Amino acid sequence: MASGVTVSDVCKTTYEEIKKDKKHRYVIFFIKDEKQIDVEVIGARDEEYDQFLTNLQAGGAGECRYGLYDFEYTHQCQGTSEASKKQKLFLMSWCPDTAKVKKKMLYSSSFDALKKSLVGVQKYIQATDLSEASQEAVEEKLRATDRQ
Amino acid sequence: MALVTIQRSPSSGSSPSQDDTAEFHDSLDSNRNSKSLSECYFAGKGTALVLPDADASAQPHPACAVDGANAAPSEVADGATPVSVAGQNSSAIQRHLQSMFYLLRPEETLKMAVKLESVHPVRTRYLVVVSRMGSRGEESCLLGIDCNEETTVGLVLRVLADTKITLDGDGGFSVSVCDSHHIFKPVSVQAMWSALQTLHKVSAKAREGNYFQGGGTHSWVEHYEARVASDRSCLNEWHAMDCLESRRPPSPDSIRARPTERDETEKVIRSTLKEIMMSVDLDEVTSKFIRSRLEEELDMDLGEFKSFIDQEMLVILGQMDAPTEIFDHVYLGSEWNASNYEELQKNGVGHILNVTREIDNFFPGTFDYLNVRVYDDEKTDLLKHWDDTFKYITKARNEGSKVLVHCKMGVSRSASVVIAYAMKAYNWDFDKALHHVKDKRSCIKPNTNFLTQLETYQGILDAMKNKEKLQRSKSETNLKSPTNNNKVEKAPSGGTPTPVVQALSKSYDLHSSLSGQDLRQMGARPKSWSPDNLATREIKEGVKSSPGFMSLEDLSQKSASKENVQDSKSSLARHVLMPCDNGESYSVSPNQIVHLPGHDTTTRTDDKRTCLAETEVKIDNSSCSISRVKTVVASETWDPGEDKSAKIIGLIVSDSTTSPVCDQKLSSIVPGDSSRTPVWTSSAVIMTQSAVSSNSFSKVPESRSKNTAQSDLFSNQLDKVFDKEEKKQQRWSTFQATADLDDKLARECPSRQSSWSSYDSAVVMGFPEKNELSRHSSWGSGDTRILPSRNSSWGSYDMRPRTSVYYNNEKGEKILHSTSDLEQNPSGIFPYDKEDIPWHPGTVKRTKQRLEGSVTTARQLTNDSVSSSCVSLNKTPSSETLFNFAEAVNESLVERGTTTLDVESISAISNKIDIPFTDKCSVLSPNISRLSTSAPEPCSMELVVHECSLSRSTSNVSGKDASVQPLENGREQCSSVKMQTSFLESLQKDYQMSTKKNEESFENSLGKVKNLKKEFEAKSSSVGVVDQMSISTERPERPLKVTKNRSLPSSPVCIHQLKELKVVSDDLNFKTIRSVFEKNKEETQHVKLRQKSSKTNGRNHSSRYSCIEMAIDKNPRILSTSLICKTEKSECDYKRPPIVPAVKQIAATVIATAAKKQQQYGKTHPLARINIKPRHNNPVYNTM
Repeated sequence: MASGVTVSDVCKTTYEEIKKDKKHRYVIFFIKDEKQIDVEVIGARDEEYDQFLTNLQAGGAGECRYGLYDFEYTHQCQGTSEASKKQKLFLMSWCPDTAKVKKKMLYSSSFDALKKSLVGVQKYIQATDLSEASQEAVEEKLRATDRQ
Repeated sequence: MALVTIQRSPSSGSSPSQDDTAEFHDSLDSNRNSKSLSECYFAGKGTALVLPDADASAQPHPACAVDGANAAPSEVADGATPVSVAGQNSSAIQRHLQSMFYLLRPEETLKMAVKLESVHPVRTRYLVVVSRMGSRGEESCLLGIDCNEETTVGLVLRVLADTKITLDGDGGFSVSVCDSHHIFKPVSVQAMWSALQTLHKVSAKAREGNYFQGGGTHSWVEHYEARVASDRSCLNEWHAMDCLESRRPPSPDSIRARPTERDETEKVIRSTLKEIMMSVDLDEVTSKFIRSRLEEELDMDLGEFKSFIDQEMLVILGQMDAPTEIFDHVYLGSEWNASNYEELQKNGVGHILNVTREIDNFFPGTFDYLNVRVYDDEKTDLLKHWDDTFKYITKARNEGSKVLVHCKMGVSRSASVVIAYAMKAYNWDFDKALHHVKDKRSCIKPNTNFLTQLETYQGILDAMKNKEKLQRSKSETNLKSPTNNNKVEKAPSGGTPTPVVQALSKSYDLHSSLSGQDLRQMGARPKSWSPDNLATREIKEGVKSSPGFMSLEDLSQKSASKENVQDSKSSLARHVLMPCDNGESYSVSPNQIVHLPGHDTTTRTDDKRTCLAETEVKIDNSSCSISRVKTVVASETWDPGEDKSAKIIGLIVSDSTTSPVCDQKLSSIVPGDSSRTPVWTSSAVIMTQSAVSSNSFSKVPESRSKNTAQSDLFSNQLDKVFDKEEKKQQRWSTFQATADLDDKLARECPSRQSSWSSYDSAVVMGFPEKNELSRHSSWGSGDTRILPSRNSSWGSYDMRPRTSVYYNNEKGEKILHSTSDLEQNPSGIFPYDKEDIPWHPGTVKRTKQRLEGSVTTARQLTNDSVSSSCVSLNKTPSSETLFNFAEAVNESLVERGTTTLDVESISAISNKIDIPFTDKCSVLSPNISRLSTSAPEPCSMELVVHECSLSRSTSNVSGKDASVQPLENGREQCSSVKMQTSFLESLQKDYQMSTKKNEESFENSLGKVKNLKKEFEAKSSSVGVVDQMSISTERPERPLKVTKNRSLPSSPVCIHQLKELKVVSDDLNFKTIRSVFEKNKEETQHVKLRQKSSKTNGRNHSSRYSCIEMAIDKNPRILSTSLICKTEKSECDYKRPPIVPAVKQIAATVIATAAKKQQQYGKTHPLARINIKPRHNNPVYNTM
């Protein structure tokens, strides 16, 4: 809200649906009229990460987005024989280099507001290109905090 | 773990040899006897805890042993005496402890030192608790000490009662004192544990001693605050804030190592990037384009700096939006503006108000910072910080600096702060402040929570303003009477109908013409009338504060001048003046006075002078001024009654004088015969005026202007009154006072109401305590408070109705009835009032006692001085015959004397005021005013005051009724008046009933009432109004009046109509009316006499003579005698009797007032004496 952009209630309810109810796999937010962060796309539970990336870039090369994804991966703790399945929520701000600087700034400065609204997100990722938004890069970041 | 003994005194270092020999003794003896020169510490793992003396003494052996063993090393160790060295760690801490001791003064004890972690590995930081015995026990402070090349103090925190110590869950703890928040992270859990224990101990002691900031403790801490000498980066670390997301770049000194290649590259990138971004269209450009441009410029691959470049781009972009200059000294900006050093310098910003929790202070050493560490969310309470931010910005402004208020984007938090500042600093409302800021910086958008808080803040500010005003008004009231004026004005505004306000406004207008202060008052006063008065009040207050006393003095001077004028006038043969001075005999006395020329005047003048002197003295005494104000108010309230009586009298007089006389009076009060009648009328008018003036006086010294205005009004009114004297007389009986105050046209009904209300309000106003209340309740409360006064005033009202009956007077019987009613009412009312007053609480008793005392004194005085004066004789006889009544009368007389004195002063003032306008009118009016004011005012004053003070609640109810009734009477005179009067009577009765003391008076009143009833019945039978009469003893009177009114005008508005009609056929009507009035007066006199002499209840009709005699005994006799002397008409006699009742009422009021005055001044006796003398004079004249 530092930029004056507010977060709509739909974002919060949708977030809750993902976090608690696991009803969706991901959700894409966008800033509507430079005033409010709203929900653009809600991804079904069975959708894959690629679809998330596609939807994230659906606005075009000059558009920025926020994406929340319930990321699942397996993790084998040290000293354990069985790999455990982990679910982590990450919030990504997608600000491609091809986006206008002004828009980029708007999304960057509004990212705080969204972060405060969505409590419980384990990881925040700022991506400016696909290499930073790729599944591998994301998983690496998510695993970084896991105990080895 | 080690036991460490530190040599505190530097002298020990200078003389190591002594240490060798006497070290042990030092450590022991000094520990116990003198302020320990050496202390033992339990050191280990980064902590050092001081051991209590007992422990030190209990462990001399280790210390001693160590001391002896390490004597040589101690010398080596730079004069310090390391008693034991247990490992490097303890030795380091020992060294540091030793160095710390050089910072401490011998009186202070280092209780604990804890080593803290530092972001810079090479730094050594200690948190030290230092204590010192203060007057209230042990006082402690926290010192942050940097032990690097030098040992310096970096932080000083006093441990106060509000110290909060919290663990942050990360091996650290935070200490917050007085809103300053500091984080400490000891190097080990053990250290933290030790630190926490010590901190809790010292903070517990601080709570025990209830130390608070500015509480006179911890003055020794200033020694350290003045010695904060750590370098900037260390200070920044001490003041490091938690929860930071946006940190300032590492300070140069923290980077001990040479700047890395990357740093240099970033520096180049930053500068280049800035150039590029300045040269492109930021609305269209993309970050990719910028980066490619940057790579071109630098001719290098910046892939690894991509994130850095993105970040820098945002920073530069943000900095490109310059902070907005909201005010000359306030900039509103973003995080980037706060980080733009060049821009800050260029704008002359010296203070930065950082309204974020996540953003660091970028230049802590360069600018002065205030942090409001809040997030921008719906739960943030910014409201509580706005007082601090306002003070901070104001401070910066006073220092000639400028303030940058910033948050993250300068949109929500900082904008809210600036809006709040604008609201408070510029007295803007929320909308104006918001629009102002939004005009300057269109992007602001405080979140809804902040908007709500801003609205709340506006309410707080408004409340503060009101509070300030109220406090000011209170203080002013306490110090001066000005508030009273405000109150008076306000009171009318509350419930008063338009007429009163108009009248007041007119008076104000008149005042305005008088002088600059008057004009100011004028401006303020009209406002004061409206509920929005606050601002006006302030203005008034400001204006008043200076002039208040001055005005009083002026008033006194005026009164003096008035006295002179009066004297001259009296010399001219204004008998009216004389009676006025008496006040008691008021209307009656006027007639008599007319007969009695010079003596009365002289005595009266003397009295007046004395009164003036007294008033001046009072003025001199600020406290007295209040009491005076009260008295004035009382007098004012009385005025109505007096006015009524005076009016009645005047009416009677005019009647007696016949229309020609009235005409003469109207013409401008021709001296001689006309003077009498005109004097009366004028006096009545003057009475009203005087009442107004008195109100004004009571209100504020400034009231001078009011008085003048009033006098103007009065003069105008007088002229008008003269013109309509006949009508007015009739009307006056009912409304005169109010009418006078109000527009001449509106005088009749509305004016009455208004005037009454105004009087009431004025009375209420008189009470400084109730000023506010008076505002709201102006009418209702005023009425309520005035209840007593109402009773009196009602009595006077009754009188007026009775006077209105004068219209009915056409029927002599009816008139008589009405007059009798009036008399009865006054008599009954007065005793009631008296009783009521005492009834209420102890104060009443006191007042009674005082009254009694005054009465006795007055009696004595009267007996002594009166010997010659018939009045005094009359009084004494009356007292004998009717103790209650007589006492009341005597008291009233005495009080009247006092009140008359006041009244005289007031009247004198009014006279003075009048003088400028027209000598004739002024003279007459002053005289009249004196008379009228003297008589009625005191009564009303007393009654009002007593009632107000004693039984506000009861008075409120009754007063409301009364007020309502009067109002109704004014418009719906007939039925409503009757009803009201009946209500009032019933109320009065109730009061009487309630009061045990009143029992006697009740009986008397009952008898009177009976008599009145009988009389009424007789009258009614004759008139045919019997039906109405039969309603109730008291009621009958009013009904009769009403009926009379009806018969004459045939409608409530009748008075006006009658007046108008009368105007047309003034002479005839007046004559008839006068005759009727005279008859009525006679009857009333009889009735009054009867009432007064409750014993003569049965006499009613037949005892008219006796009644008359009674009246004569009191004051009427004088009047009658004077009338006889005049022998102009029997009407005069009739008139005289009515006056008598008024006198009784007045007397009661006067008594009350006198009692009050006595209470207040304790000068009642002299005043009473003075008054008595005039009375005597008057009687003498009468006898003459």
